[in-house]
Amino acid sequence: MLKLGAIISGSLIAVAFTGCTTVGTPIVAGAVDSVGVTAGLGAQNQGGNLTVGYKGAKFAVVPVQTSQGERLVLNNGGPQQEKMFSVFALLGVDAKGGLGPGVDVRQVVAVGPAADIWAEGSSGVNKDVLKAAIDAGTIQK
Amino acid sequence: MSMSKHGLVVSAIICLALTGCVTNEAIVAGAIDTVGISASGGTTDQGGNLVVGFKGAKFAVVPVENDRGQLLGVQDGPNKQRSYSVLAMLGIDTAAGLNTCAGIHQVLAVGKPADVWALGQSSKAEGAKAC
Repeated sequence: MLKLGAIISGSLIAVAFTGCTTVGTPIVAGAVDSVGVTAGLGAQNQGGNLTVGYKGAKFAVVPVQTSQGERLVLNNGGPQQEKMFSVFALLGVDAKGGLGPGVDVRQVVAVGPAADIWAEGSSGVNKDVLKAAIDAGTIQK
Repeated sequence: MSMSKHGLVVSAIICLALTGCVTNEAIVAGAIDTVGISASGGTTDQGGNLVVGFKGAKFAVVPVENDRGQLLGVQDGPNKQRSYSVLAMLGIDTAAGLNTCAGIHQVLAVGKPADVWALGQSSKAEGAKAC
């Protein structure tokens, strides 16, 4: 049973990465939690907790170039002004101490203006701080 | 012993998968926690905890050049370039325990959202991120 869990999770990881080899090297991030067997008891687990196999796997793959090897960038309003595609992927929450009651986890993938808007709304960034960073050129317009 | 082998096999699979990705120059970061067997009990764990296999693996690969060997950056004006903005926040590693509401969002952001998220989250208190 343990070997089966490892094989399944390993295969999922490998399958997730097969997309990497198609067009150069993309940006990749992943988190795999609790592969194999985990058992927990006590207040933090609110009773008992047993996982056989794997508990969670999250992956995100963002390409950075076309099939011709050209960079994936956008014009930013003028000559020699470029910007990247906006991508935002919120995959889950890593909370070893448990989450508070009523806390939900929104699993989000956003691209373009939606990614900008979601990041601004959910990051808790102060509007004045953000404006100052844009004015200073730290963050692109 | 067999469990350690088991963990090593799974780790090897992850490494092989990552190797497939890294055909060009890339920045790679990873963390694998609790490979093999881990058993603990006491006040910190508030009961007991047993892990066979491995408990968590996080990794990120960020390329720095394309297939033509060109630097992956954006033009930000005459004679001025800017690197890609990438933010990957995948886990939290703590030995002292966390507050009840503590936790982090598992995020991959590229471009302006990466900047905004970094600006917003870096200024927040650790214990307030998931509540």
